[in-house]
Amino acid sequence: MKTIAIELDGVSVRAVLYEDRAPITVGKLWECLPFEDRVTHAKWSGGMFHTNTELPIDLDVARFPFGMENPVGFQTPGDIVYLPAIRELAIAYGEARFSWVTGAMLVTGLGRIEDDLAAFAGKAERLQWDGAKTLVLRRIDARTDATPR
Amino acid sequence: MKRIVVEFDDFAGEAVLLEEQAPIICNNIWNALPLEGPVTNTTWSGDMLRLWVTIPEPVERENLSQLQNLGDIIFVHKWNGLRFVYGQARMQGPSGAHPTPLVGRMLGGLAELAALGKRVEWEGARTMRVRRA
Repeated sequence: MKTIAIELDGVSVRAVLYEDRAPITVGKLWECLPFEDRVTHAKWSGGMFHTNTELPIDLDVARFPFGMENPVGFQTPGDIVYLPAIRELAIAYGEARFSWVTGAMLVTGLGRIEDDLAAFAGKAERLQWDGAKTLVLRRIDARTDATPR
Repeated sequence: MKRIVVEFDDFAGEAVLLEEQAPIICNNIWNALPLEGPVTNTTWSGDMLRLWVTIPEPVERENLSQLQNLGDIIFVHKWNGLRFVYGQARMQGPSGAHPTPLVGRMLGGLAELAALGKRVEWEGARTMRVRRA
């Protein structure tokens, strides 16, 4: 099982990636970890924040129905999603639905935070008040299941 | 015609209250001036700034608009405050779009408003003041 640590403004949570539902996208994400970026609060999607630097994930989107693996149209708090068209990763921390000016959009369901979300959600909610913060994604070694890489 | 001044950072621009279309709400806003508070981006509605102030809320929902245009100033019942449209936007929440009173319109300063939206997104909330012209 591929497990990652997600760190936002000093709070770290553990998340599992959906290797079974989105094996290629998850595999490509895994290869580019650790990944660090300045994230900002969503303006269309509710309780969600997103990366601003394109992730180095090359996908042949033409091979997938809807242009992506594991397309999902709804999110719950803790969901990690990815939009291949703009190489953007987003994380829902509250009531949210990935949307843009065109309305709600399908995104790849990449994984899910498994730790208690409260402290992390508190930091995420502050993004709309405090501005951009640094997000770091790291692998967690499967053998120890504890040490971020 | 009631004119107001919207101020943030080094900018001051005029706007007009649409008192013919929304007389009760505009009167409440006018009587509440000057107002000052933090401004953030909205989280569901796109390029729209929210000024976190409290205005006495009337029961009447005047001049409801379903679609917002650049420069629109809207008042939202229940959540209160004022909202300023600086790009593509639509007033909505988790349950979807909902009609809201259109209470005013900026008379310029749209580029500055858009720049404020970007600055708030990256640097955090700023202070906005609204006063009578």
